[in-house]
Amino acid sequence: MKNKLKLTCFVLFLICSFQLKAQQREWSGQVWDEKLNEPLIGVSVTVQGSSAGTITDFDGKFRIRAEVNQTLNFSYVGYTPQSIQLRSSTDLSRVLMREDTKVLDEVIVVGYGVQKKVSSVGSISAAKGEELLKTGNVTSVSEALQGMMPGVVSIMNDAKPGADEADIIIRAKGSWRSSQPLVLVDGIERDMNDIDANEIESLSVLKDASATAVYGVKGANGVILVTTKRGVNQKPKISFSANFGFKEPLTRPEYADYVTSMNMWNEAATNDLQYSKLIPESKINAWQNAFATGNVGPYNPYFPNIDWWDEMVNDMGYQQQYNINISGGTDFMRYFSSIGYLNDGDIFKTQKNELFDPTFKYQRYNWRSNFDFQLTKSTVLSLNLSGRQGYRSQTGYRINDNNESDTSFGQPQFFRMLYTAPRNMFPITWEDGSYGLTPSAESSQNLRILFDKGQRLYKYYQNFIDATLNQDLSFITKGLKFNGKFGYNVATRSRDDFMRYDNGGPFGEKNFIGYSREYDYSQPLPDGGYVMVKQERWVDSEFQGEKPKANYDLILDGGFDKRLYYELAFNYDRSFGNHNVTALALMSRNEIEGLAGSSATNLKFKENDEAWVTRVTYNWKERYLMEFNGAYTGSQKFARGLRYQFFPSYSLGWRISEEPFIKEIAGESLDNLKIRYSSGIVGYDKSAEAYTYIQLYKNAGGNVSFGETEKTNYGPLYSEDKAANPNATWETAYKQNLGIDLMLFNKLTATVDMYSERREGILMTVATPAWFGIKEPDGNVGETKSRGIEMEVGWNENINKDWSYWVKVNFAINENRVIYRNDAADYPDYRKYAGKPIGVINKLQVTDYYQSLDDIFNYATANNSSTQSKLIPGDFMYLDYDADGTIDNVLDKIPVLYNNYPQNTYGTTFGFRYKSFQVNAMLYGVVNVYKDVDALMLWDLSEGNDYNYFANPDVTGRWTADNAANAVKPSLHSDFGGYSMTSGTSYSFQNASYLRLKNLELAYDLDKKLINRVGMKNVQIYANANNLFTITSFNRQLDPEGNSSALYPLVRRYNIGTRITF
Amino acid sequence: MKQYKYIIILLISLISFSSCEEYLDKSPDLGLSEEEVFSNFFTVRGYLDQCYNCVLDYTFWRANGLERAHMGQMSDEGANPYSNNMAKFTNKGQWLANKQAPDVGWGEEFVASPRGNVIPNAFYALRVANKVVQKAPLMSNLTEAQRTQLLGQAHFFRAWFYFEIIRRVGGMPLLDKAFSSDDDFDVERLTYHQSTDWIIDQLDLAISLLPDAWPSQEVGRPNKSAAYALKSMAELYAASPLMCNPIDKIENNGYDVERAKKAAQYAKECLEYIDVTAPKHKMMPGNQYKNIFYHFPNYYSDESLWYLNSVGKNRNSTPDLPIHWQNIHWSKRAGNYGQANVSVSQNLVNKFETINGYKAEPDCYRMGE
Repeated sequence: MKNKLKLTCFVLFLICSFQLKAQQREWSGQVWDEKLNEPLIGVSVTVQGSSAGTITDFDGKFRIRAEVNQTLNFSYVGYTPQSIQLRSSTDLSRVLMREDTKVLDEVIVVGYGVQKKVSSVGSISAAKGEELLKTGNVTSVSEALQGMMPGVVSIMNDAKPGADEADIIIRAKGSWRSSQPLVLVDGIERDMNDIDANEIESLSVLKDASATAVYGVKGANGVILVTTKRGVNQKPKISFSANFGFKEPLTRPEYADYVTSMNMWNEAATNDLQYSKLIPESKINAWQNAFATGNVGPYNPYFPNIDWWDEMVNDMGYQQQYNINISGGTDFMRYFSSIGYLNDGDIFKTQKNELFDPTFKYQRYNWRSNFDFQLTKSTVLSLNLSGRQGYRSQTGYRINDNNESDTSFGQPQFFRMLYTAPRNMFPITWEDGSYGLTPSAESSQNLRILFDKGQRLYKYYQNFIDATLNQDLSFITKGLKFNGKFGYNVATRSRDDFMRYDNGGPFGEKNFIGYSREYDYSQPLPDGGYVMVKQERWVDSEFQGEKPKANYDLILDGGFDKRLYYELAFNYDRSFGNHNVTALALMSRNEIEGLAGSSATNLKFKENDEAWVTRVTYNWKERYLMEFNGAYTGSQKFARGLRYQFFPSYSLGWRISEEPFIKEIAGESLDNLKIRYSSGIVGYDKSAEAYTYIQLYKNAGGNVSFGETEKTNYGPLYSEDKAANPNATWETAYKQNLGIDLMLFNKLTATVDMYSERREGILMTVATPAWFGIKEPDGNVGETKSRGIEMEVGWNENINKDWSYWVKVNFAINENRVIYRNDAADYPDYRKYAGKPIGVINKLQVTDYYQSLDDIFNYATANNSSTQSKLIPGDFMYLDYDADGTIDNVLDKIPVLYNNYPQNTYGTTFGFRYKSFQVNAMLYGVVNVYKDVDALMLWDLSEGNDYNYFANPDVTGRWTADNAANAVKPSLHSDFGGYSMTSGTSYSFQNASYLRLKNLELAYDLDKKLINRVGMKNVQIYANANNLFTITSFNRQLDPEGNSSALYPLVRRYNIGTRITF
Repeated sequence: MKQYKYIIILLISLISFSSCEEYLDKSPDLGLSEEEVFSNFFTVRGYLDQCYNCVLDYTFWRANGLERAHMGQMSDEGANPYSNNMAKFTNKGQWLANKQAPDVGWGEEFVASPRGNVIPNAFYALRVANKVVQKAPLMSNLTEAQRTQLLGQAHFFRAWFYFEIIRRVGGMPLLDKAFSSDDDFDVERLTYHQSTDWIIDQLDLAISLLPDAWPSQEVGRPNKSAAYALKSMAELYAASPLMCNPIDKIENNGYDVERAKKAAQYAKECLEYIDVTAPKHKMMPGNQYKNIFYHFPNYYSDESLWYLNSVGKNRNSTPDLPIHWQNIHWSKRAGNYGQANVSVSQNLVNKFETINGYKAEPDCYRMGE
């Protein structure tokens, strides 16, 4: 048998050699990189079955002798090998080789390590640093993540420069307490938003129990891992990028014209029988005439007409961003160093003056140096030094607290003024230059004053130092490594205040001198003016202005903290034949100190935590995969004995594509097909209040007095605080995930993940009987469940050397329910939390308009007597859900179908390359989201009682007897405050679903030959835009994502820039 | 062999790094611990004395949600243009459905203060008394006199506040301990009689512990005669037909004669005790009757066996006027004080006779007739 085989071979060989001999000739050709479209140097070219071979020269060219029908093999490190069978007509002038982007060798960052993507069994989404850079130069990493990965929801709430980070929810809300994920930068808990995206190598989002269990008591809401760039052993590579951007607000207020508004006010006052509030016809006529003749304007003393948005908002704001970094290395040291600068400017027409600069802006300096020292052959010491200094400046307005978050009192009131400031009450300045004011003489209504009261300058400093020692312990046993890590973060936050006038508290009322004047429009004067009937000066007649004032370097509340982190770990990674085993044993600790959150002077209690982590993975031929993760983590918030828990997870995977029989059927076309399942337990302790296990007493002060004739006090009194719960602990999530990864033809990739989660032990106030006696304790009683599907499908194709395109579509669907939230037993079902989504919203349901007085008297009454007495035909009729004859603000509010946070999201990234020209775009959408529209845009004339008449453009569509069938909004009222039930109704709750062109980028690579001459490797010029257009049915005056008039308006950005590599 | 040495050294260094629990033992010194409060007589007394703030003080204008009205307003005896919540609840028939309703409201807004509602205050005080009953016997650094003093008051307050509750809402579960948050709250409700029996037990204990009289600076704390009197009162209530019901139904089967007899017996014991030990307490003679509450600064007389000491609590302040059936607008204060003008109704007027002894009918109002 053996001999036979040998013989056959021999014969075949003879035949072949005969043929070869017969037709051997010289072939020449050139090898090209398919994607970069440039020649490849040093590709090895061999003739199959012979020893003949060569490598390509400097221009990618080669010459080789071979016969027709022989096969040429091309191979190059990092590229997919290529084989070409020679025919007599074969043209070798363009042999294309493609970079091996096949996932096979790709690694992803997982908790405390990296894994090969093919053999990983967790549900992990990853993005590369380059992808983050292509998101329209947004200023925070959290915003850049929007739409990029399925199951990662990022919501923008504000666009104030330097305070515009987005909220991130991973997969879904699992609890009503907090959905904040854990964020780690280079393995240490840090804020990721202020990292320069140029420093980021990759970003992983860990979603299922398999991936997050290693974070134990911190991981239940998902984990984001940011990894920064490191140097490689090569010649220095310098990258420079510069970006210049413009930005403009996405939405703006709209109004009906003033004459219409006044007429509508008269209708509203008539509706309410408030005849004393009517505006005289003489005034309306005078205004009508003024508009007709164009005798109006922002500085017109008699007919002021100010469009505050135009006055205060610039057409364009500016933004600049620069980064230069260098990376490279030698045998001894590898380095990556980066310096970045960001200047995010203002969309308001604020101007620097002699005392201060009230511009909203953010200047940020980022620095980073990552070094790796190869101390010995088996020892690497890594050192990361990085940080940022940020200067956030803004107009000084009244902010009550000293917190870093200044979004509480002050800010909403300030920005909402852009919508509500009087437009026709006073000119911006009178002819003599003094300011125009409202009759009640409050200066705060003139936005020109408001934007010039002072400045606040916030200063942020963060410094991060990490050192890591990697020691190969192969001398003990092969595959064993030791790793020790030390990290130290320091952050300080302080602010300066600059005030124009030192009086009336921080940015108080006494500042500018101005006048309010009132004219009688029925008494025109010959000079075109009118008789002035009233004038008031503010501040009082003696006031001549005050000295300016400034405070420097006030520490913000909680404005200092430091964190010490260290970890020790053993890694083991070894293959025994077809058995591949890895193992990890790790111990880590965090020690956090700093100012208490509500104080600029008091330190908080030191917070410690500790984790003991292990992971074991095993696979056979990368075909059958198994992984076990476990973390024994502790939280100091709870009682002894309840501080530690072991959080295990296991996962199994099966790469069907590796089965021989599948390979046989599918052949080359199936690159990867993997099914994976994981199940495990993760915790979350951040939303738990600390130390509730200790029963505290307090000195309640006070006393009781006794004594018949002489009073004697006995005190102080002592009282017991809120009841302790010695059993309090963190919330626990039980997660399961079933995923399928598919790759076909090396072009189509698809990932589907289905998951379900049960969250138990959510810490909340426990209902206790009345006779318990003290304030009820917190207990781990809350329970929720959620489930969902995430899907991502990508297609990547190179049509020919000039054309290639890619599409990636992702979508995520999630639903959740509260199982238990301490509902009162006797509540009717519709009022219980249980069985409804987390954060359920209850609204009064608008059923119709009252069409007649009969309707008003026959229908259920409003439980608020002042509302009932004001009802007129054309007002909303609300559903009396409990049918008790009263429309009640509590009992008749019923749950609505949708939530105000996105649960269904979809994103599409697509683009193409044609030669050196490249286009990239991203669409992002959310569906089934409803949000409240500001009452201002729904209920017209809300400020009319302050003589500030303005209505929305659709005011003429209000209900009237004649217009009853086509009414778009209810009939008008003059007393908005007295007419209650204007909030919390289905009228204001509108569909805030949207589809947005999140990002569009056009890039062009300059001709390599040209730039190589001046020493550059790569020059790319690009233009991009962010939030270019939005399709939504939400109110036009508001953005569906920010949905508030009381914030720094969300912006659209246009950028041009360049990326240069030397 | 050499390799094992390395492994052992590394493992030991890792494990000996620390013991976990201690590393996280950062229990902060946030406030007082229970041990500190129950460490000496004065802090325990400060804790127990909270009970006095929970006793319903009829003479305090804000007690019981009274505010600027008076009790008569809750019936047909008076009316007040000042629309305070109290009159609204009662006159609308929502008395039992509102948490801030006077007397029976379960709202805890001002709990542990004289402004608190009666029932939440009573639950609060019961917890305090129960804690003292539980802890005081175990304290090592109390003198016997101090321990007796604390326990006597604690047992008295147990009875007092439990009685305050059951006479409003009927029998309650036995609340003889301070519940902790992981206790089983599913406890059985007792009948009014069972509840009363516990009160009698507590008062017997109180009688054995309380002093005959307090030193003059401490007058106002309950003494033996108060416990005797409360015993009789509690038993008398229990004899009422309503209180004779089991917990699941209400029917009128007449008075419980046995309990009434017992109440009489307890009253006799009380009077006998007073005669012997505290002759100062006595029924006031008829000619002093009109001055029975006319004392300053305290509204009490020799008839009072126990009273809430109001010294220094400004019971003569203008807002307290309604307590004395005076119109608060006589305070000459502005705003709500000015408009809170209580007018008695004819119903109340009809309950009295005129100065001449006639029935109060319209033509009798002429003065001097």
